[in-house]
Amino acid sequence: MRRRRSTIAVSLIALLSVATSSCTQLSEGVQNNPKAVLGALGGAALGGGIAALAGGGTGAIVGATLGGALLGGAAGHYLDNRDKQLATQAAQKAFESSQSGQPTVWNNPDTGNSGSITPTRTYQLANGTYCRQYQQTIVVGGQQQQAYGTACRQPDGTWKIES
Amino acid sequence: MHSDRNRPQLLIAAALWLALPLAAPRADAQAQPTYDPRAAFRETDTNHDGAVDHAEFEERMADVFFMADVNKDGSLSPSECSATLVQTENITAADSNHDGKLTLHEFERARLKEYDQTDTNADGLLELDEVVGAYEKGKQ
Repeated sequence: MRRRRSTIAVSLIALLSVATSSCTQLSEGVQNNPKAVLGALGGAALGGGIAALAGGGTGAIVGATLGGALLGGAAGHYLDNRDKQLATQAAQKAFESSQSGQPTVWNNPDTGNSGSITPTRTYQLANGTYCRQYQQTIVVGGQQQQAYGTACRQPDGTWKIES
Repeated sequence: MHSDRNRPQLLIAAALWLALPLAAPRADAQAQPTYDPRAAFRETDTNHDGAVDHAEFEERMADVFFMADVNKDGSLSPSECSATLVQTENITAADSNHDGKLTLHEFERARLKEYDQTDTNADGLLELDEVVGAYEKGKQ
């Protein structure tokens, strides 16, 4: 009986356990970027229901991801295509394979822009579909902007921003 | 191979495997990982109040389930269970609808029984000393 209790306890702790990942910090010191007019980002959220995060044309997808669902439409004006591509790749990786609390970071040395996306909660809909709440951070011109939302996994393996 | 003496170590190793990116098992998967129950506790205690409550625990289990569900079909097959961290001998007991796989609900219900057994002071919360103590006891 005692042995069984110990085994159960270790099982529980094993379930709690995760490797302590090296949480890469967002790069700092992104300064003097001529594109940086972050004030425009705040009030321009367009809402969700936009395209999946992977598959199809990169430009359209990342525009939907960042411009529409995550940070507001104005963000697209201050991120170049490579920024958006990196952000999209980070988002897909974060949603599909990162545990909650673990940030996936992107950084474009050419523009100095960077960001991260961190799943914060995982749950299932009644039909078994996985959804993940997340926190998105983007740094443009040294200024940081945060957004929150929910993405749900589609049958084809892509993730759709729901809110 | 599956004696009680070996099981705690196997479970810990399996749990840490979960934290790796969901890709093909790595060649070094058998290597003994570094394991830190305190780090696990901190990550699970998301409101940083010094205790893991049922809600935090269930959120953590949903995350564990998601990571273990390799094909992302919403349930854990026996192969997914055996490849990851679920004790295979408990699948049948946890599989309340007897369909041969575990739903998230079935998985969480089984884990909550373990939660209660680890909560040695029966206050409804898991404190750090309970988690670490149970881990140390399990290693013996």
